[in-house]
Amino acid sequence: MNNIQLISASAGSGKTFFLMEEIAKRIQGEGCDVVAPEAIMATTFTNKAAAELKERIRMKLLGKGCAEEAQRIYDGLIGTVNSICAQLLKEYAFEAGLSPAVDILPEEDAKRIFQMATKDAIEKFSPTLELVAKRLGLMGYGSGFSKQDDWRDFVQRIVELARSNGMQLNDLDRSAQNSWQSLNTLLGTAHAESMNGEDERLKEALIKAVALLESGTPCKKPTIPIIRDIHQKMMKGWELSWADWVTIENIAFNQKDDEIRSLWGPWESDDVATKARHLKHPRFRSDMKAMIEGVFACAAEALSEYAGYKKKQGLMDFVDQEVLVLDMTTHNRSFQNSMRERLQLLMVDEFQDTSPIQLALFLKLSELAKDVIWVGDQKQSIYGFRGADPALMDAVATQIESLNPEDAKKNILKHSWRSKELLVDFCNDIFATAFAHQLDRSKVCLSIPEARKESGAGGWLEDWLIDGQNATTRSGSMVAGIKALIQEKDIQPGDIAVLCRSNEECSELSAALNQAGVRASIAQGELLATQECVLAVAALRYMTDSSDSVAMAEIVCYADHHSQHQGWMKQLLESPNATKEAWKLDPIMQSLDEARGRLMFLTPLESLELAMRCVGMDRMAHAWGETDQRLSNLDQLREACVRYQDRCKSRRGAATVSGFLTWLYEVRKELMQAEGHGSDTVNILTYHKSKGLEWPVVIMASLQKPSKSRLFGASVQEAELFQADDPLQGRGIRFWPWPYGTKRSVEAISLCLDDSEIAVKAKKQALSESQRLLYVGMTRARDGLVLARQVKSNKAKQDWLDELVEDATGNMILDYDEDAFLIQQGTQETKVYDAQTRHLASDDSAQAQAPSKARYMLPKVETSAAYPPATFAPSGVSWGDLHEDDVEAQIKARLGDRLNLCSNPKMADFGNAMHGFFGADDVNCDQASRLSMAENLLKNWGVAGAIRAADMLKASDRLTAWIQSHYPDANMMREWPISMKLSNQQETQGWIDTLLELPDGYVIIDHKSYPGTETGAKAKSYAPQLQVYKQAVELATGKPVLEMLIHMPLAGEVIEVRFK
Amino acid sequence: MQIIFDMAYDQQVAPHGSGAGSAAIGTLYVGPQGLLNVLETQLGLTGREIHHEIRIHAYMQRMKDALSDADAGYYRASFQEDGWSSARQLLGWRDELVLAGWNGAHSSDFTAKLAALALLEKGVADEVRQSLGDRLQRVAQVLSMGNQSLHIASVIVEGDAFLPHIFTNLFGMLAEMGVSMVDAEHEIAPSDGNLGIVKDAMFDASKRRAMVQDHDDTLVLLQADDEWAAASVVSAWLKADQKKNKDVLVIQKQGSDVLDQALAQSGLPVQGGGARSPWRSALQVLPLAIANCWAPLSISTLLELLSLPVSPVPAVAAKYLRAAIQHEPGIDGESWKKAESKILEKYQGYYVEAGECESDALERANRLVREIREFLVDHKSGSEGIEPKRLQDLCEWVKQGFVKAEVDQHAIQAMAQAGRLAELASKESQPIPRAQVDRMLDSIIAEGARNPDDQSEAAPWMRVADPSAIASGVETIVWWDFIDHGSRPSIFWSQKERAALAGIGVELESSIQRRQRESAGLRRALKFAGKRLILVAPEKHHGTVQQLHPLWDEIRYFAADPSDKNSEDAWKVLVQSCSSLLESNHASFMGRGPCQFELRDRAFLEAGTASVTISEGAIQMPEKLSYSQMSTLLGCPAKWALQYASNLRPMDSLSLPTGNQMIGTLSHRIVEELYTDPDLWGVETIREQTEIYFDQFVPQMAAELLEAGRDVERCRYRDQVADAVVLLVNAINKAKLTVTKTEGQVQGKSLGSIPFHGYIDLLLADEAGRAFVIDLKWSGSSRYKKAEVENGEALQLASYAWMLQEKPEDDWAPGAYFMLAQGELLTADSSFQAYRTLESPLSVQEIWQRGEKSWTALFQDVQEGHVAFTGMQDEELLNADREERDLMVASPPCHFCEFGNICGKTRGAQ
Ligand code: SF4
Repeated sequence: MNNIQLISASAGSGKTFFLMEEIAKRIQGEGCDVVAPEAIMATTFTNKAAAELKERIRMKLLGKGCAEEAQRIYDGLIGTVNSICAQLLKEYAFEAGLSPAVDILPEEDAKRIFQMATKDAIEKFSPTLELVAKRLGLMGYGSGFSKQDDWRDFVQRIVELARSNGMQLNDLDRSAQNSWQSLNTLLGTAHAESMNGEDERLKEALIKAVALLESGTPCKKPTIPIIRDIHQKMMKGWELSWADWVTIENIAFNQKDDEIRSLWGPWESDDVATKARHLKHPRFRSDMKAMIEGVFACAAEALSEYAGYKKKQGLMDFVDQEVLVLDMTTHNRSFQNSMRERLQLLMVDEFQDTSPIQLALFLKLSELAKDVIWVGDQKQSIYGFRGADPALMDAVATQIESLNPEDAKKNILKHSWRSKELLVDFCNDIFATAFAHQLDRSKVCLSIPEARKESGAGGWLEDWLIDGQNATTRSGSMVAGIKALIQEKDIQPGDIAVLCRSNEECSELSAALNQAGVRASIAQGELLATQECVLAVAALRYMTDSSDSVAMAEIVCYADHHSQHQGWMKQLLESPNATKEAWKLDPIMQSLDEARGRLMFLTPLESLELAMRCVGMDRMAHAWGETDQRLSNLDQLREACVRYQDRCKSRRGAATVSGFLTWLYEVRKELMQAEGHGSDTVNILTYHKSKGLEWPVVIMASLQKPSKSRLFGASVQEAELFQADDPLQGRGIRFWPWPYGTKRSVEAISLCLDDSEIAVKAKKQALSESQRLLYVGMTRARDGLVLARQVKSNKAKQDWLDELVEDATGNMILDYDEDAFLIQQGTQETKVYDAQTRHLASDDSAQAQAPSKARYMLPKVETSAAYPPATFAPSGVSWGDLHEDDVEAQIKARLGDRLNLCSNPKMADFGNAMHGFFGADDVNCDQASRLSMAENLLKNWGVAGAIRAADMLKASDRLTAWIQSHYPDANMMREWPISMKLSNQQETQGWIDTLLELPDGYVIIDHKSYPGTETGAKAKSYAPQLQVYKQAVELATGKPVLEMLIHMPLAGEVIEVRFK
Repeated sequence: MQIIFDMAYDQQVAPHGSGAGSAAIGTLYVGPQGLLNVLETQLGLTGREIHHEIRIHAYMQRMKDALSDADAGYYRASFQEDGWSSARQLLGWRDELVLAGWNGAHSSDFTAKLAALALLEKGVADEVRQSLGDRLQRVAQVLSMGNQSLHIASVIVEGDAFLPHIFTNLFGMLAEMGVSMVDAEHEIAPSDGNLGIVKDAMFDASKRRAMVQDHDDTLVLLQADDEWAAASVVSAWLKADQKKNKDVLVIQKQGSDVLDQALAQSGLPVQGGGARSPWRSALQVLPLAIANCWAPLSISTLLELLSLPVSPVPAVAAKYLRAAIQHEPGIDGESWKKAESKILEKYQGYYVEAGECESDALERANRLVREIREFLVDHKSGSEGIEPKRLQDLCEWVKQGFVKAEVDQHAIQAMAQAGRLAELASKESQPIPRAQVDRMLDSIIAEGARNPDDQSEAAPWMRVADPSAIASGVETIVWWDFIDHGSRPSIFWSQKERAALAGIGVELESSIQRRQRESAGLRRALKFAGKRLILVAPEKHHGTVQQLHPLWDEIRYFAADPSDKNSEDAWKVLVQSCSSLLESNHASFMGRGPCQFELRDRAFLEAGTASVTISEGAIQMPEKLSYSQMSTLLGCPAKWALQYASNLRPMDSLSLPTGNQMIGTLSHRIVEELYTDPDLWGVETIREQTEIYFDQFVPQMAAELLEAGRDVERCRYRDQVADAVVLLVNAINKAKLTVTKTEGQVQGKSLGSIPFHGYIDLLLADEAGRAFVIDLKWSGSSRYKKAEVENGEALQLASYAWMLQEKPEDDWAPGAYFMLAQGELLTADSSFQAYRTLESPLSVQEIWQRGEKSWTALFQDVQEGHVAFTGMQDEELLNADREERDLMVASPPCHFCEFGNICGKTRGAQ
């Protein structure tokens, strides 16, 4: 840990700039040893961040005149943790005893693979757990909001937590015990006596009650179906769930329902705790115990089954990679040695977002690296939901800093390079107080540096009170505010970012904005519902299957350039068959029909592109207006196809058009339209996604929502004591299953648990996380910050902001006045910040106008000329203009006897062997080496024994002799390259087997290993090829080709081919 | 012969001297591979190409043989994990060493890794020694023996960056043999303007740096939001001055459908050059056929195999089988068997038509069916692996599919791949585990194939795939995909390894050398651009956001004047956005004009209408009628017309039934089976019997439940179905009814003049012989059906009752829905003695009469030419209208409708 330089970089403090300086310094060896660019390991959280980091480093190095180093950066290990781990595992697979083929298990498949892998464990435990799960409502039944948890998901979740926290089987054991005991204790002592009679009593009561109802005994109306449902369930012999018991305990009666109410006996009371008899029911306890222990036990088995399965399949997920690299880093000598050489600088960006296992990995890697820089900001740790553990991070940071307290002070970046002064002060004041209990002021507060004294002055705040009656008024008032800002502040929509808590809020708001004529960045709903995608997909469908008449109708309906577009529906209904036939005659359909024949050679993506091309998709997008958006959507569709193909690859499956279409419809709910961007588009995104970004103006929305602590479900429990050399030691998991299915809140159980230490701690964690999220949000703003609070029934609601409290006193930090924010800082005086207050209501009268968008020009369509292929091979040339009758072939010379083929060789290979020999044979060489060359060639072409090697020599000898006697002055060139570009731009390249240069021209000789006897006709068939050679030679040399000869070594003939 | 060599010249090189209407002989531009080919030819060393997989396999064998050696410790564990991939990886390293000149020599300084490689090299098969390095070494060896005659006059070595050791070595030998060796340093084409400024800074450190200027388009980064905009600009620009195009060179790494389309539309030749891809349809046959030979069966994979444009299952047979699994998603069930007999019949017919005699035709058709059974139904291989013989047979089957389809030579690549897998299988004697088959397949398929139809057309401009293949100056260079294509990281060799290798004369290329060469190659785009360099960078490629090409970093840097603090952002003047060019009909840009542009006519997709009017009587009476037709018409007359009168159908392979639909069919089948043979069970054993049937039918009708990891779900379904059946039987018994018929067809009545027919799930009778009807439903909730009964809209039940009525005075058979998943009997008839009898405002007879009336009236509307899209109408008004006419109210079935896009329902406001 000693070598770790931990840089605390608050939001906007110029982290990247600082890092670049540090890296460049090291590469140049300024005041330190020179670091080789390829010996840098830098981890980021996204591929994009990695690419940016590389680019920045390169620019920096180029700026320092280190062009070569800038290029060498590509050999360093810069990327996401996982891409680096993947590379290391591949490179060091043998050291680690692993398969070098690292197949990454795609996240979307994780669940499926987990189920497949752990089926034995699940099967083993399901006979017991399924029964319990039914009663606890943990079967995963239902959908949407009324979907139950599934006990098997908890098994998976616990396995995941165990893996990402490096837990072992005994940790799970301990966790199971702790989970059950803590819960059991909090629920209080259970009834000692068996409560088996309870069911009978209830049944009796229900039967009587239903009988009474049948006879018309009065009862509160909503209560009747409840009684009936439970009664029916009991009559069917089905077991009651604990949610049913809660229902029974909470049945509400009217005054006059006494007769039925009296049946309720023990479950009727004004006191919540008294009537909640099920909590003390031994069976309830045993169910909970069985579930907790069963899920942990099942998880323990699943953990090893999962590992075994992936190993067998050669699959790995991100956590596996991290665990394996951690393991190599900790235990593998040769890896350690190699890394010691290789790792001169380790840089970890955004260290606050690392998962526990990653943290452990970084700590270990740091031991191997010479120089280590970790950069991050504890205040921006907002990925708890993804497994980051802020508490662990804090512990590590404290430890590192305690080693070198002096350095620690130096390693705090102090200046704000982002926000204007007023905003910097505002955030300083709020968060120095909010984080006071855990962070020193110096780690929170920034100041405006000298260089920005002028440009950094100013800044503004606004306090919006928006009408929060319902979603519509909420969005409406936001729109009104945004419009006002654009008008009054002279800013572009693209300068504004609105931050929301959830994706739903984002889409709601952007829908409202779009309706009001302001473009918003967030996707506007399903991709496949857009008209451009409907048309594209219809084209693809029809192209794949001509019987898809729905797709055909969609094309006719959407494509205005389809000849039958006008009045198509009427025609279809009036004369279906004739109309459908007429549709097919249109050029669009015909091009799709024609394309169908080529599908066999296309990839799914190419098929989609071809389909789009056939319907003139891009031009349709221009015709419909909103071209940018539509083209982006079409791009999004192409991207989906690429994603499908990638997915097939990682599943080692096939990718087909029908598979793509099936997948497309399967995931259609998740495929969203492309996000807009640009200066005319208001950015709308979640707080989580805003991290690392900045805008001139930031509007904080969703402030009414308080944070929620998660008491039930599975979560990680910190260790009692943090140990730096084994940071994951002693951690555990708490798993409390929610026993009431889809019933979301049950007062009785809350009464038991809410004040417990565990609940208080969970609450506190949630609170801290929500404060950090606010920090991230507020610090995104450069010039102006808006807090958009909701007013409901005349009361402003900002529960989330109210969670900004001073730890010591519990007092709220932020308060509000007309045109001012007030900040309370402990005992100090209240600080007042001017902030314009706007009372906003939704303005229905505002005319919705579609955002007007420029239209784009398109290149003028020309009827396309037919162009020949760019290249052609001389041997592939057809007769073309040449006519067979114009060619004659005559035997020019008989060189000797026919040579015999000994076996039945593959003629192509045999020909190659012969060519190979003629191309290289030197008749002046010694016989032995010539023979061995001939034999080797025959062997290498897989035709050994096809001809006697001596015969090959004979063929070569007699040809050479003939040439020498016939063309005594010839300069002989063998395997001579030619290249030619015709006037129609076609290019060709080839080899002339033998070219004889004579004083007045050339002779072309081509060898053909034709075994037959029709040598004349055969030779003639090569005329087109020879023609190409002739043309090339004549063009290149300006001299004529005097003769074109085909040499047939087997027949022992030389045949002249002549054009009449 | 004269050879011009550069490390990058194995790809297409341009310009290479010959313009249109010219030719060259005896001159050759080559890279390493090309040079090797020339030398091998001249030395008589040619031979058949050995595919990489065969090399991997041979290396794997060698690794296996050497396993017991101490030095094998390095790879032993990995090899046992995954022999194939281990061999592939080690072989890659070996090849790199051989390329650096290693001949297998051992050294005492070797690390474990090198020692292992040396160990393997000792007994490695000839097949392995076929890498570029091996072959270059062989050439060098032959050359070193002397007395070889080469027909090479000179070699000009271009490029000023470092050459790998093996080439300097080779060139040394050539020089000794009298080949004249020339090092050619390229001239830098002189340029004006911004291009000149950046070039000066880049190539001549001594020149004073200057800052690029505005209003100069000699060096342009053309930025576009998408490929379409970029393609529009580029094609319009190329079109604008075609005479000058012979002085243009286009750099394009990957084929672009979008660019080609734009070029074609402008009447220009297309670039072509689509990449090799493993995803071509023809190449999916093999992996899909193999995927189908494993247990448990994956039904969606089977569907994919049956949906391919070409497959060993002939098209018509595939269609029948597709239909079968669409109905019952499994194999070898009733539907599957029916499909088999249809195939038999159909193909026998085909063969007879083709001139075969009856018996021959039958035999051939039988063979076809047998083959399909053999490869799709019988003997699935499990965890023990697949027998090599069977794998070979499968490959043969796949190959034969291509032959049958009579496709031309284009399918050869696919057949060759199947052949190679068969060859690999033939080398094995034990069953091959799935993981290894997958890996072998991966290696074979990964090479992919090109689309034979995707050809570059002859164009006046020159093309290269990479700037390093530019060989001399050219006036304008257009770099189409100026985006970061990623760069392969160098293999890491430790200092110790490098030193040990150097000790035995093996010089590994360093990262520095490799990167220098790479960088020099990229800079050629600037070096050789005389007048203009246009860098085209669409922000997205195939919809994925791209990074700019790393060369841009350098250009940006050299565009500034370091002495001027304010010039850091000077590069911004180099950026030109496509949309701004296209927004305002710019007549000319980047030195050309006028460009021919046009606007596409505006088009509006009309909002859907609530109804259309067509000519009276255009819609014919249907030939027959069923309840589902009737309810469709009642729900939405337009849907009815489109579906039944116009016969619009979606393609059939989009999805397979799953979930409720699948279990529903399965439960029906089980109930049917139970009541077909009621003697097999009694009330006490009904549960077991149900479970027996469940297990029997699942592979045939719900095969997905057999997939690994679905056991719990299968058990839950088994339980649920058993629960449902028990409750159903109890309900039937409680009402003292007996089942007289299952899935019984009823017909014989007509509505108006249209014959009416239907299937009744369960037809029952009480002791008095009175008929009862139960319709089985599997659905997530019983709410809707309950409401239907309570609102007096249970038309389906009423239609059965009506059909069962023989004489008008007969009773109307009481009917009930049995909700399987809930175990609830929904009925308004007390004789069922249900847990609770619902109250219906209408009697069965009244319901039917109202339904009949509604059908007649609504159908008449349609016939009169008024076709209503009820889903597009205001629901209240619609209901009010129906009530006024005393017709049944039914909510429009938009959720289950295929026509939402064409009727406008799902079109919304766009
Ligand atoms: S989507 Fe609705 S309105 Fe349109 S045809 Fe189908 S059912 Fe009728």
